[in-house]
Amino acid sequence: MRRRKFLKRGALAGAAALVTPGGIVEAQSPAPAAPAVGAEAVSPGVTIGAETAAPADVQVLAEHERCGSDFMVDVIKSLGFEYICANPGSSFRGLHESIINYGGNTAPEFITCCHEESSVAMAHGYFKAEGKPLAVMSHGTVGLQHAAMALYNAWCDRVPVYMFIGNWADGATRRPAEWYHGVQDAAAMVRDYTKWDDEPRSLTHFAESAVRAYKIALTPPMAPVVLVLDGALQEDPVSASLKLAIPRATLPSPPVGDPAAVDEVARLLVAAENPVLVADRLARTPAGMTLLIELAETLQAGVIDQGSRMNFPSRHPLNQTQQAGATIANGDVILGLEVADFWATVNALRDQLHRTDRRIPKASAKLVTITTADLYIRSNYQDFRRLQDVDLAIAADAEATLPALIEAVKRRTTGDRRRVFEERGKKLADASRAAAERARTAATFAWDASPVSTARLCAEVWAQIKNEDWSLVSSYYSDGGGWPRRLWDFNKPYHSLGHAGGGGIGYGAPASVGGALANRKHGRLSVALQTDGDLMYANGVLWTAAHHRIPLLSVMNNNRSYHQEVMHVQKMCNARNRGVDRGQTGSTLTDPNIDFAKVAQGLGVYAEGPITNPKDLGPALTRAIAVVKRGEPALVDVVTQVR
Amino acid sequence: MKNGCFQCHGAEAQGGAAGPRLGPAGVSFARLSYVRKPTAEMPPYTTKVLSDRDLADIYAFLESLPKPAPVSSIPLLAP
Repeated sequence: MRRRKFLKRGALAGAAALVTPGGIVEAQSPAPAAPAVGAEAVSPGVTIGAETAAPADVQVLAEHERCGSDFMVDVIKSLGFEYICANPGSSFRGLHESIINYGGNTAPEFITCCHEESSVAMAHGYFKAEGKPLAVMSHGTVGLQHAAMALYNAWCDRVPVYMFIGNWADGATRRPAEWYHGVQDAAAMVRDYTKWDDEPRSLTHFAESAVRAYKIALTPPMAPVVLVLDGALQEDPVSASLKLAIPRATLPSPPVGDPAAVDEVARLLVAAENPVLVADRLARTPAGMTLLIELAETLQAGVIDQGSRMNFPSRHPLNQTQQAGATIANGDVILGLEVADFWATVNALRDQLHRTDRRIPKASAKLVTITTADLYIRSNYQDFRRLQDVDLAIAADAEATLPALIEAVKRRTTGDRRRVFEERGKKLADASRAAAERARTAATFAWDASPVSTARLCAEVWAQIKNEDWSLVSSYYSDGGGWPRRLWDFNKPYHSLGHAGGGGIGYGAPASVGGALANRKHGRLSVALQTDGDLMYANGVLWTAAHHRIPLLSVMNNNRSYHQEVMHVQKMCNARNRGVDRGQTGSTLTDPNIDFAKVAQGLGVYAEGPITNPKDLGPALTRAIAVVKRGEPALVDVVTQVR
Repeated sequence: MKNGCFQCHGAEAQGGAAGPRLGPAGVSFARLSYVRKPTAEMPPYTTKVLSDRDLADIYAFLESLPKPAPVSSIPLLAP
């Protein structure tokens, strides 16, 4: 059948190929010459032969052949992926087999996931910890539909997820299941929240698109990409003598702000009495934090870290995050650095029956933004937020622009201004110290309460990890009121991995496992504050952590509810003057209470709990950390106050 | 509990990200009447859903809460 057609195309041994990026892929051993008809495999468009030819008598790959998916592995290896996450699926069985056999199941190593949403969220968390993308495979239909929510989170968080989806384009050769797993335009359903997709028609096309996709995904603003892999392109044999080039993946340097505009920002900041630096997705590399510290210390300016990335040390004297509202209100120049929602940074929306809003800083305050969000925007999904009018907008990557801004600030700073800066810095340091003291005092309230207060929970965890090389891999939405940032000393780029981006629940658990996977080789102690509602989305990721020996301490912040929604419904109850007696209906996770320790144990994870007495928490954490230090995941279920 | 205060302010009125601490000695009774016409995010409680008597009981509860131990006596909260 079609196989015969490919047998004509040439011959060479199908051994592992030697690959260099930008070079030619060749087999390791020579093979007898054979008549070459076609240049390479293409997705079959004409099927007359398939419909009329006799069945092939040879059903295994010949010595002089290789399969398309082997070459795909060559390309994937050239891009440096360490892992590829997938819930196995027949539409990419060819690539799956090539990865584990031809590729030796290393770089990338196949990570078995129990849900495609977990695969993508793991890739999301992995990137936040490692700064490199992780590849994902799924069916083009049923897999991508599962993955869609996690892709949307990654899109909103501007995180590159590199996704391969399988599809069998030729209806004449589909097995029955490949019909309901088949689709005309597989990437269409996620095109509104991915940056680029393609459906290569040949192996050369695949190589170019794979490298292009990598470059696009990693060029700020970063975002997910999708490559559709035709089943025939993966599975059909090609001549092993076929020389196929793999382009080099040379990443473009990120866009830097216009020098004149940067100098104007410097002028405004140096002249300001109360400049405020607001950072959100600023630090896309470890250098980002270092640069922001340098800018802040040069100016002695207050910094608000909105937390999508680990931008600024939590205990730095200039950190004013705990009094962000007052700091913004008092600011006369407010610089937003990759701030996802600048409108909400400088305005307050009152969410009542009649919604109102007000500007926070005084009218004379100058507003400035530096962000790649001005370079790329899509229409359908509204994650671009409300439009804020500003005095100066620089369409550029903020981290790449900071060196020029720092130099311009230093150039413009006179001795007089430096003395003003020093006085300002002392006041900010006092405010920072006062905020830390208020936080410690606030934590004393309900210290011995049962269920356990979220402050006690975070203080107990901090006591156990503060002398370790730790990494908080969970979303900061899960920490029960910002207690880690109030009590812990965040000062390394991997100390915090931000949040989901799109607010899609179910991100926390798999993203934590992905972050822990990245941290494993660095020997870091990965810690997740894991909420109950989030873990109930796809808790099979705990099995993935156990199976692949991914060390991760998950400490449940188990308030037995989707509590954010409880508060929303209660607000509706009151706004409609109906009382809150039934306000919890539909939003709680009780009757029965979920025994997360048993759930985790059933998935192969060491677990303890439920813990309701705070005095029991410390010893349980000590035992769990001992397990994690042996290289395995552990979970401690703690029943917590709702807020 | 039945009035849902704890949903934002905590079961022991300790406060959190969604609502400030109310006790012990967190607010005066006059200040507590803020619930009738809140000016920020708090949902309004009219006398239809929360009587003056209930509000007085809530205030009495808040006043009855024991004071926490001083921060200096809790090693885990040392700077």
